[in-house]
Amino acid sequence: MPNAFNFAASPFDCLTQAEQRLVRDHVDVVYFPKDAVVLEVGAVPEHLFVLIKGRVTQFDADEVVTTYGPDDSFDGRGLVARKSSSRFVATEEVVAYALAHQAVNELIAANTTFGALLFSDLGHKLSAVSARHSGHELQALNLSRVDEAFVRHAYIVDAGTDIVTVVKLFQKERTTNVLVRDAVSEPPRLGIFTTNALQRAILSGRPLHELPVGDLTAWSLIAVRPSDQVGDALATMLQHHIHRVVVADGPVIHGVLEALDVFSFLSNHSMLIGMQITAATSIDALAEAAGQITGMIARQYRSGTRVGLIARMVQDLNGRLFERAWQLIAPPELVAHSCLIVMGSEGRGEQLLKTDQDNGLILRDGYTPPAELADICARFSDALTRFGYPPCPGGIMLSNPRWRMSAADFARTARQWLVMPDTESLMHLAIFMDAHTVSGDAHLLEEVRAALMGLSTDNELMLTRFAAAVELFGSQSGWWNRLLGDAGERLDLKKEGIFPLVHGVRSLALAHRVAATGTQPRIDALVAQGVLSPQMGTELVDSLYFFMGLRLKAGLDEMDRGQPVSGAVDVKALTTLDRDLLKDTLGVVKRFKAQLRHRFKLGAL
Amino acid sequence: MSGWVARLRRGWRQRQLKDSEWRFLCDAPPAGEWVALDCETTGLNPRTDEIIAIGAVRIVGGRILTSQRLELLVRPEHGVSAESIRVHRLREQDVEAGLPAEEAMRRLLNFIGPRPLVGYYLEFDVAMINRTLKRTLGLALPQETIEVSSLYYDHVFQQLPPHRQQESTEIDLRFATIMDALDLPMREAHDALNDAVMAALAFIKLRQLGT
Repeated sequence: MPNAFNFAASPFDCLTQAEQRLVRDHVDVVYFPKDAVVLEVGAVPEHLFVLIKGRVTQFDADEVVTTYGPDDSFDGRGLVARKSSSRFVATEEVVAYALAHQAVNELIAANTTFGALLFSDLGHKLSAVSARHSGHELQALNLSRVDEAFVRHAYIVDAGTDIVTVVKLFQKERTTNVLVRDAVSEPPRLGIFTTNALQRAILSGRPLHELPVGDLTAWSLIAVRPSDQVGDALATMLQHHIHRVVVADGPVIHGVLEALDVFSFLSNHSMLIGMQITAATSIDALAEAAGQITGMIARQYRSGTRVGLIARMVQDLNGRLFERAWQLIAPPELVAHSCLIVMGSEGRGEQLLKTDQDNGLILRDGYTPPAELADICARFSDALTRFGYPPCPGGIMLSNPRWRMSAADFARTARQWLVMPDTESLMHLAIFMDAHTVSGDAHLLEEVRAALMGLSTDNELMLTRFAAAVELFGSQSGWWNRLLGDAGERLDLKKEGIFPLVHGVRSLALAHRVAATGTQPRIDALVAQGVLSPQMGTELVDSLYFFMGLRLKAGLDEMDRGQPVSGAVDVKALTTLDRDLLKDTLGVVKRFKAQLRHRFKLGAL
Repeated sequence: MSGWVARLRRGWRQRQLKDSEWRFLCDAPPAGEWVALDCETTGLNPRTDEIIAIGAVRIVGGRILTSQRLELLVRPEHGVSAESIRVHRLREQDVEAGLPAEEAMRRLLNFIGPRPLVGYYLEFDVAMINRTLKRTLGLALPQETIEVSSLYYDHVFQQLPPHRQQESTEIDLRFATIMDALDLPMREAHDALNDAVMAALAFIKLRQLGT
């Protein structure tokens, strides 16, 4: 059965033909009845086991560490260390490949990706994954449809229009081309006149205000369909040595696609959405731009862009979107004397797919807001709803009077959260800690935050209560088994992974007066203060982005199927590598929770 | 074949092999070792068809030593029929690169040594090999043979309630059925080595069940 070895499963999927042959030549097939011990603690492993059928459970003392299923391999670490540190038991009858130690060593020496995937710590594993993805990015964007790219408005003039009038149009509309319609010819024809043709117009010697544009128009129009792929449109331009093509569906002209726009689209699609947001003069136009954000996220993710990078782009776009909407709705004076904040995942810059609105408004002390403030705020919340951000069920949005206050009132409220730490206060505190300014005077938020941080560390009991939320979710050892468990089992990554990680970091940030709002900047600050070890810091950051990526993938798949985004991940649908990484990352969270339990004495509560 | 006939036959073969270079085939086999074997042939008639591929692996306890496998392509004297190519996917030009039959048989005997043979429908493979052996080296396989399907038959029969053990019981002995019933992984068939490995797995599991 060496001929049937599954080279599609990680880490073997990165091997060359010659390396695959090496595997085939050094692999045995082994059988273990149920309950047989495959490796004992302290044993010197002679093989890397790759399961064909059945399950193996890894025990540390009596605690289940993890379970391995078909295509999973173990015990890579033990093989390199020449000593197994766990007991591996066939919890089901097992058929497995046993790959000789020497062959594994040769593979590691020859193929760094294989080595990284097999043994290295989490960070290396994840970066090995992203290395494999690189290079696909441009290709995927090339496959986008033309109408997803920046198609410019087509200005159409009659063939009899004189050149001076056309140039005035160029200047007014800041365009470099017009389409020219000749209704006199039989049949009527359509052509294009560009700034390049102006030279010929001037050189013709005829007075420009008398020269009809039709005389200098190129009548052979090259068109692409809106449904064509951007890459094909670009190829068409290169083939004809032209810089633009007309986008048309039969006789209907959709606009003009410029090569320059294609290049910028290919280099950074988010830039175009950003441009649209900045240029928007109505909520309708903003809604159109907002509608493109999810599509951009999907393309960026599927083309292999790192999740941390996508999250930064999304935070930037959302920030600009909210700011522009606020500027369109609120009078300039209100904008100047207040601070519009976003909170929760949006504030941390860790939101990918749209979730609830969490926002608020801090007013400058002594400033009297307009009488219709309530109405303005309600319209803003409605606009966000139109953009696809559902209202917050807990009412944490500026249309709720409790979330729009003067800076002094905000500081007083925040103090109350600390003094009377009931469940609701702690939740509000947690959400507010992630606040981030999107519009107005950011100093207002900084003042409130400074007041909060000045108070926070004195109250150990409050900190303990605050941090205790990391224990609210999580089914202890349950999720290990769910990784390989029954059909249809779904894992709530937010509860099991993201929340304990994010909130644990937030708790440490509160205790150590870290003002940063993002989880990664908080971790960096905590590492700098020596609260977290550099290794734990790296693993937490890698784990967070891995969770976000998995959740995004699951969400995008649900959207593709026309289902609502549930936030749950179908464990059975994961690839071997993702399952492997999920085990590792959830293990990181487990270790982190143990550290928090110790630091905040959670057991004493 | 009952025990004494087998013993008799083995004794006869031993005498036949005496003093020849192949005496080691009749040594006492190493404990807990077997060789699983499968052949691909030009057809299903042992009298007229020829071997074109042999896959063999040693079994040591619960381990199948696929890393020390024997995979032989044998050049047939007559051609390969289109029908058989469809089954094993070895074309004329593939077997063209094969070993001459005598060389293949020498390597096979050295690989097997005195170990008992294991296989599915082994009688057929052994008949094919013996015909080639007789023609080239003038001998026949003396080793004990263990038929996986008959082990399986015995196993299933023992599981039956006593009243059904009286009747002549129909037990499905198709290979896929056996692998499925034993909950063993089925891999792409009609590759001599894969088939040998799967037979070996079934053998290991049936031994396990028997103890």
